[in-house]
Amino acid sequence: MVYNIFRQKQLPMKFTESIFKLAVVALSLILLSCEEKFDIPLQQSAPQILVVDGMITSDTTQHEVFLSYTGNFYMEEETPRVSGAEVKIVDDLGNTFILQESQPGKYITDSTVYGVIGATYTLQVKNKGSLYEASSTMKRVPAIDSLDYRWDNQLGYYRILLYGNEPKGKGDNYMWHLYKNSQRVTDQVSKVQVANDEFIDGNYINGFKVDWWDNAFDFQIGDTITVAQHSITTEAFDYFLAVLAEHNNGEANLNPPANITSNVNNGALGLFHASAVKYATIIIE
Amino acid sequence: MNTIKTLTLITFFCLTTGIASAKDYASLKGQLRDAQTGEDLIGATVFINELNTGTTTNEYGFYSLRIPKGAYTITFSYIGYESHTKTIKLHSNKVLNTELGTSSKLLGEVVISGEERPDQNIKDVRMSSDNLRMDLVKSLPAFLGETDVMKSLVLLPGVSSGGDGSTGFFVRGGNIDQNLILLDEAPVYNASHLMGFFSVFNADALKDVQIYKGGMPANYGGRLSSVVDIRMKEGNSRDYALGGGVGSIASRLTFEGPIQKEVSSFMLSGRRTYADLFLPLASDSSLRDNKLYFYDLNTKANYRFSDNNRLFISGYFGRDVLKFNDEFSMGWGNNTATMRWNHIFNSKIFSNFTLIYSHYDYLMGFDYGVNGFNWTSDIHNYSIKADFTWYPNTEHTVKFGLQSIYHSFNPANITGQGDQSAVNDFSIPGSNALEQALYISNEQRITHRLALEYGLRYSLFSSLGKNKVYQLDDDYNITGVKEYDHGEIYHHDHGAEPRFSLAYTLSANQSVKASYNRTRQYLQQTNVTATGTPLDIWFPASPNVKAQTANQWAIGYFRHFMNHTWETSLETYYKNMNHQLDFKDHAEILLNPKMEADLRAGKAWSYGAEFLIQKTQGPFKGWFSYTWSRTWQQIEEINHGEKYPAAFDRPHDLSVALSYDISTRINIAANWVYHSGKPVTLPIGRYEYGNVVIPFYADRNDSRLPDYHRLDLSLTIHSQKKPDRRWEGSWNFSVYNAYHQKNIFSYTFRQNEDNVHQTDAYKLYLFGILPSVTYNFKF
Repeated sequence: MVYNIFRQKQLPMKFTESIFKLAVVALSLILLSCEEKFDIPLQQSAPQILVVDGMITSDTTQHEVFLSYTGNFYMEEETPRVSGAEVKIVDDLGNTFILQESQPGKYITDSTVYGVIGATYTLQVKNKGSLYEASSTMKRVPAIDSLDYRWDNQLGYYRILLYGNEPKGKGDNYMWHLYKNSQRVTDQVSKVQVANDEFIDGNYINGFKVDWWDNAFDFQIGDTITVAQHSITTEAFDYFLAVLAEHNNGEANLNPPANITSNVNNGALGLFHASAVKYATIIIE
Repeated sequence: MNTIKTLTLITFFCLTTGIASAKDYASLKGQLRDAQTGEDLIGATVFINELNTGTTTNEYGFYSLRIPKGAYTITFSYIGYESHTKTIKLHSNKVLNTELGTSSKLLGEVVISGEERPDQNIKDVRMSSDNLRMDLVKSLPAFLGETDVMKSLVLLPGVSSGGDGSTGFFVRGGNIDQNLILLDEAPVYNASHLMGFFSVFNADALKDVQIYKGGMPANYGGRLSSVVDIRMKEGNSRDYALGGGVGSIASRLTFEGPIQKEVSSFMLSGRRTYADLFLPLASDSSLRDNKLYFYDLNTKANYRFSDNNRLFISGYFGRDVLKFNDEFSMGWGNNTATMRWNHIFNSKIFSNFTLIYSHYDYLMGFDYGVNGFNWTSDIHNYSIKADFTWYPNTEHTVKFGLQSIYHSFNPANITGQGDQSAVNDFSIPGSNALEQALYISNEQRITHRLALEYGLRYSLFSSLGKNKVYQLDDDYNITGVKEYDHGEIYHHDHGAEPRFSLAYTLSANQSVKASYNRTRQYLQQTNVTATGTPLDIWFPASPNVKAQTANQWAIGYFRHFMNHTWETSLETYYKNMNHQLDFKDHAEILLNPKMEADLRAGKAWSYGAEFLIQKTQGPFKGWFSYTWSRTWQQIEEINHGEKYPAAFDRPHDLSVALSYDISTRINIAANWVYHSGKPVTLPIGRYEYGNVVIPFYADRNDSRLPDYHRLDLSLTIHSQKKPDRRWEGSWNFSVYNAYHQKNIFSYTFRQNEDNVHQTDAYKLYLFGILPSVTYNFKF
C-alpha cells in the first residue's frame, strides 16, 4: 500500500519533480516562467543496435518477443523492426521453445508453452550472424484476495484497490497490468505500476491502488476490470524504474541521463524476463 | 615528508621571531571603528609612514604592531571612509583606538586624497580572495529588488552561478558542497530560500562578506574549494536606528542600538516574503489554499567588559514553508548560534574563544489516506574553537588555534501520518562524528617587497557509533553489515593540510603572488539535481567513503593604475581533487539506507585563468571579470571510465557590474553576465521498449545547452537630505533580465501529439523581463 507514494526508488524522483513543479507553479504567479518548443541539435547518426522486448510468464499462452533496432532521435516514424532472426527460449529443465515470426519483428511461442516458478529461462537470438542471450528466473507471486474500486473526487475517476498478503522475506517485486473488458489498458510500460516489498515486507496489502495515479484509464460503471499481479525479478524492477526515469528525461534537471543497463549480452539493448502471474476480476457497479 | 619540512620551517621562523624582539620596542594596539555607528572595521589599514610598514585590522577591528620606540605619523584608512592621520610618541606600550567617518555623499566631487592607501591588494600576501563591499552590492540590480550577496558573489572571477533559481555556486571547478559558508563562524548547510531563488542572507544584517577561492588561510578548513566568511553587524553602539525596506516580494526591518552606550549594543533584523498573500486572488481556485513563503531573523548583541574583553552572541533563524492543497506540505530551514569571547592577553596576543551551533532540517508531509506519511531529516553540529593571533613584531603575525566539532546526521525518518496510514515506520540510520583540527600559520614580511604566509592545518575525523555500516566488496556488492555501539569510534580519517602564499611587490603599483594549498573535506552532499534542492542531505566520510582532498596552485599578477583607482589582476590556477563522488547510473539517491553502495569515487581536475579589472572609488564604480576554465571528472563506471566535463564546467564566464552616481541623490547601475551553456548528455538515438520511446546516449556531458546571458538594470533615487530630519528614504527600481533572454532552466523531450513517432524538444525558462520596486528607509 505504501507503494503509491513509495513507488519505491523511482518515487523520490517523482517527489523532487513534483516539488519543483509546485515551486515553479507558485512562483509563476509572480514570475513569468514559460515553456516553449526549441531546436536543440543532436548528433544525427545513431548506431544500429538490436533491441529486445520479451517476457515469458506462468500462463499457458503464446509468449511474445519483439525485436527492433535503434533509430535516429528525431526520426518521425517507428524504429526499424528486425525480421528473419532465429529466436528460441531454453530453460534449465531441458526444454527448448522455438519462436516463429508472426509479423515483422514479433516472435511468438506455441500457445501450449508455460513457465514454472523457480526455473531459469534463457532467450537466444541469432541475427545477422551474431548470437544474443538473456536469462531470467521466474519468481513466486502471491494470490490476490480481492479487488475493490473507489471513486476519487479529486482526480475524477475510479481507482482500483487490491487486497492480499505479501509473503514474508524481502526481495519480492511486483508489476500490475490492468484489463478493461478483456482489453489491456496498461498498453505502455510507463502506465504500469511496479513496486517492491522493501517497506511493506510481510504486511497485509489492505487496499493498494494498482492503477498508476498519473493515468486515467476511464473505467465506467459496468466495466469488468481484471488485474494481473506479476512477480518480476529485481533486474526487471530496476529496468522499469530506469525506463520511467529516462522516459521523463530532462524534466527538472534531475539525475544525469544514462543508458539503461540491459540484461541481453553482446551489446544489445532491452530486457527479457520471466514472470509468474495471478489474476482477479471485479465489475464496477 | 612535505609536512615535516613545513613544520621545521614554521619552528625555524617562530624561533627567529623570538630573537627579533628587544627592549627598544613597544607595542601599539587598538581598535578601529565607524565614527557614526561604532561598528568594528574589518580589514582597515594601519600604516606607519616613517617605517613604510603597517598592518590591517582583524575580524574584530583589532590591530597590534610591535615597533621601535619613537615618534610616528600613523595613517588609518578604510575604503569608503575618510583617512585619518595621527602623530604619536611611542615610549611604552600604547593603546590607540580610532574612529573613521564615512566619506560624505559628496565623495564623487572630491578628489581622492593621495594619503589614502588603497594599495592593500598589491602588498597583501593574500591572493584569490575578494571582499564584497556591501554599499556597492546594495547599489547593484537585484532579483526582485532583494539584494543577495550570494548572487553578487557569482559576478566575481572564478565563481560561477548554479543558474537561475539557484543559490549554489561553483568555485574554480569545485562542486556546490565544497564551499564553506560561514555566518558569524557558524556553517550554513543550505543557503537557499524558496528552492534557491533567494539566499538565506539578509543584506541589511550583514557587515562583511569575504570569499577565499584559493591560498586558503590555515584557520579555515573542512571544505575543498572556497570559504565564504560572512559577518553580521554588531549593532549601532551610539544611537538607536531603524531601517528597512518594502519590496515587491518581501519586506525587511532592522532595529539596532546601544544597550548601554559604548559598552553594549544589539541588532535585530527580520524579513518575510508575501508572495503567498496574493494567492487567494489567483484565478485558479486550486491555488488559493497554497502556502509559499519564507522568513528569517538575524540577531546579535555584544558587550564590552573592558578594553581587553568582549562578548558577542549572534543567531540566525530562518524557515521556508510550502503547502499544497492540504495534501503536501514541506518546510526547511537553518538555525545557527554563535557565542564568542574576545580576549586580549597582552598587547601581543589576541584571542577568540567560540561556541557554535548549527542546524538544518527539512520535513515533508503527505496526506494521502493510507499512504499518509511524514518525512523528516536533519543535520546539526556543536563546535568549540579557540583562535589566537600573536603579533611579535611588524614582520610576523602568527595565528594558531584548534577546533573540535561534533556532527550528527539524521538522513531520513519516515512515520505514518493520520489514523488511516498503513506506512511502516522507517528510518535511515543516522550517524555521528567528531572532527578536530589544529593549525598554525605565520604571515611574515621578509623585506619591503617580499611577504610570505605559511601554515599547516591538521584535521582528524572520527566516525562515532551508534551506527550500522554496510561492508562492500570491490564491485560495490554488500557483503555484510557491521553494527557499532553508542559512542564507539569505528573509523578515522586524517591528514595534513599545508598552506603557502607569497607576494612580491615589484613596484608601488604592481606585484606578483603565488600560493599553494591542500584542503580536506569530510562531509559531502547528495545532489538530487545539478543545482541543489532543499532535499539534498549531507553525509560523512566513513569506511566506504574516503575524505575528499584537493591541491591547488595559483599564481597571479596584480597591478593598479591611476593612483590606485583602477585595480587589475590576472590569476591562473590548477587544482586536482581526489575521492570525488558521483552516483552510479540510475542510482537511488533519497531514502536509500544502502546509498554508499551506489556511490562511485574518482578524481576531478580544473584549471583556468581569471581576469579582473575594478574601480572601487569615485562616482563611477564597478568591475569587469572574465574567467576561462575547464573542469573534468573521471570516475569509474561512469562514462566507461573515460574523463568527461563536469556538469559545472563553464569554459567562458564573464560578468560586468557597474554603478554610477549621477548626482548625490541618483544612482544607476547595471550588470551583465554571460557564460557558456552547461554540459548535458543529449541522446544520439532512440529505441522502443514496452511501447515507450527511450533515448540512447553516447558519452556523458558530450553536448552543451545554449550560452547563458542576462542584463539587469537599476535606478536608485535617494530622498533629499535635510539636516533637521533623520529620515532617509530611497526608491529602487530594477529590471531583471532587461532584454527578455529566454535562458534555459530545464528541457524536456516529448512525443508529438499528431505524430507519436515524432519527438520535440521543449525548454522551460523562468523569467521574462522582471521589473520590481523597493522602498528602503532608515532613521
